[in-house]
Amino acid sequence: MNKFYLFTIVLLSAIHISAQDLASKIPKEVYAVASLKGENLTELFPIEEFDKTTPGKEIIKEVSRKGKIHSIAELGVDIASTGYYFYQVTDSIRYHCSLIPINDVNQFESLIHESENIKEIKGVKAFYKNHDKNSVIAWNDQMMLFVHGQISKSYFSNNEVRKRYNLSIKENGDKESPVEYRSYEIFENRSQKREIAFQFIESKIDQIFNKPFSQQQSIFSNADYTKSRDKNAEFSIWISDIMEIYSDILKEADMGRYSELFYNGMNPAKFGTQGLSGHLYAEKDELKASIVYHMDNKMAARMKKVYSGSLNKKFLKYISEEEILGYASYAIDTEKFLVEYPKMVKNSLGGLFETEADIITNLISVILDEKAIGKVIKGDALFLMYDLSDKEVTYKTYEYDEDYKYTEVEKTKTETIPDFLLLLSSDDTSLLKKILKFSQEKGFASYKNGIYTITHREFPTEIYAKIENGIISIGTSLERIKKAGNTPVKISKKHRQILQKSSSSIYINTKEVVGIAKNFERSNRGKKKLDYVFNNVEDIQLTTSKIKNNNMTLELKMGVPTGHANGLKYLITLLEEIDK
Amino acid sequence: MLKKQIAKLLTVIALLSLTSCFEVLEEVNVNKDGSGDFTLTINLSQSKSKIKSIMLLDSINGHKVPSKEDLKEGMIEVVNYLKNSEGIYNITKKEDYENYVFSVSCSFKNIKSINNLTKEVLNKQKVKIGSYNSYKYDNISSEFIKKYSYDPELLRQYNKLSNDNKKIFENASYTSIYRFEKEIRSVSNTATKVSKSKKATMHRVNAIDLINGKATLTTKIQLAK
Repeated sequence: MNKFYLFTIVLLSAIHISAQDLASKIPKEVYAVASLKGENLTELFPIEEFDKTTPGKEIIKEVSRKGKIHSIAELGVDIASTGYYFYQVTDSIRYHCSLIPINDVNQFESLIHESENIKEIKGVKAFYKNHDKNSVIAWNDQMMLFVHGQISKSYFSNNEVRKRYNLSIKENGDKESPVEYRSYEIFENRSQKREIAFQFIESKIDQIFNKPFSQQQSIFSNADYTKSRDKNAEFSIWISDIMEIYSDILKEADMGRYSELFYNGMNPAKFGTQGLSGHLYAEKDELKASIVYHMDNKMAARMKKVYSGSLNKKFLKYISEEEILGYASYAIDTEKFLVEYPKMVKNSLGGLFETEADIITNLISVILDEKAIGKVIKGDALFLMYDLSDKEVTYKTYEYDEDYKYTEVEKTKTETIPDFLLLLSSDDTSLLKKILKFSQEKGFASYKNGIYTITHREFPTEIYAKIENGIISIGTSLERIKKAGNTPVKISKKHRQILQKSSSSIYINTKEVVGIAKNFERSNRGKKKLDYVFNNVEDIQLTTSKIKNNNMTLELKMGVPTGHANGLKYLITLLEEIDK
Repeated sequence: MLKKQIAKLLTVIALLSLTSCFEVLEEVNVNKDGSGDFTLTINLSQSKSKIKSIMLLDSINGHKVPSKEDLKEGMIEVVNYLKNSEGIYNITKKEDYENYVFSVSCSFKNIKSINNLTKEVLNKQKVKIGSYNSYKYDNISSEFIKKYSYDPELLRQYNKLSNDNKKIFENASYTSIYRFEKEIRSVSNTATKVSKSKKATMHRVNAIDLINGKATLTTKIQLAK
């Protein structure tokens, strides 16, 4: 299967129904839900057009092995409604389920490669392979369910449970402590494990097809989930509690003595709910991804302190937007970070090593003077990337006389080096000045007209630095450092706002960057691809917000280049062009 | 295993620069009695910015970047090898980590003593390339012979490099200079130039021609009797 096929299967495995929202089949207590909105997708990219694209053709080819189809519309699934995936964990089993709406059950069945092997589970048509009974497809004429089940080893290590399932029991002389089973002792063989998982899968199918949930039992009664739903998103994911997923993974993973340490650290009982939700939008003029991390009160209070700082406003006077290829900024409060971070580490160690952790965190605050460090490096930084610049460098070579006696001579040549500028805030520059003075004495730095030149024979180029008005600027171009902060510069309102309101941000002037890459690309094929990207790309912007209502939001955006109807069409065309 | 090492060596050299090049300089002074001095210089200074950038990394494309300490150790190994070789004395080394120029020189009683030098030095660095030089000086017939053996393995390994990495060898050069006390009567290799004083020869080849096997370093120099 090639990547197009996989890509589209992922898209399809979440496509939907119009009559009824399949989310009503998802239980309230699940760990994660993902959904793909077919109605939005088919609107952005009509099926008949999608059939003609490479991924469309691949899917048709792949599915056509049995019955011949000519369009994705003939798969029998209702492409124009929402499909879901959910992950459910119970004490005994983990279910991975996909729910996909069906609009033509005969068509759907005709595409099953071994249709003679269609079986029935609890009155529902089902298909599975005997050697892989833990992955089952079941369907009626409205929907299809794909379910995969994984048995929980810890549950079946309990003697009470083992009695119920007729599993061999290991007796323990000392009745007080529970018997411990090694992972290979839990089941006699694979088929025994498979059969037990199959029983669970059967009851899951029975529940989904034959025993509909009431509103209170379904995910619709989970306020965290319903709040996170966004009908405008093409793809969404929601995770109820990251800590719960972590600890569940750790519980099952055989990590010997480490698992206890990790498990304690991630124990969800010690945290409030920390959820995550993400959405992808392929709008008319913009491609956007956003992820919201919802913290518990304790974590949010800590993070709020750490991210309380803002980017130094004076930095804005250093940015000449027309010249830059991109920037990266972040603003934390160094002092708060040094106070809060050891606490977070201590917390994640759980109750283990409590005394040691206490000593260490106290020791850190004794050794480090958080306030003083916070003054020297306040915690906000802006990295500006300019174009590549040419620089003269010297090298040694030889000149020969008539008798081939040679002398070593120094010549110069031009080299291309990256040109960057890094800005840092400081309320106390005396320490830095001391360091630079020391470097001067050692011959690593020189000082002239307010600018330090740092040369080290192991550096590929000289580094220039200036300390002025509480701002430390460091860069590779002397001219730029001289001008920095002293020349009128232009920055748009958009970037001004992004830089001031975000806790961190990255901006890439993609066109310019691709333009440079084009100059360095030697192969014609590569050049052609870069040419296409160059003409069909917009700026990329990533931001993380400050903490608000216990939430932190990460957003990634790119404008849809002109000539493309919408974000989805653009993405698929781009994939096709790059794969050519 | 050996092939892997050669590939590694070529890649590391190639990584030193995409746009720059390097020079190798071999210099031999032969006295009337057959004794003399030998110097081998590797000058990477045209690639120094690139090297310095790379040296700041631990590894690149999965190849470990040798540290300055590794290079120093390598030089010490070479010197130690020379010190333990019979008929070789006055060993000196020069290391310039600012410009990346490295050289080793020694004196010999008979040029035969340095025959295994390049081979052994590469062996010491765990790189076994079949291409090497051997020298012979016949006092009676006043004939100086340099024999260069080419190993096609070099080309096979070179061909495995990406186009970008191959580029560096295009401008790299290998220069041999030989000086004698007697006048030169004739040289067998047409690419070898004789100085005005007729007491020195120079032979410069592109690294790429050596790799391809298109150029040879072999030459027979007939001196006045």
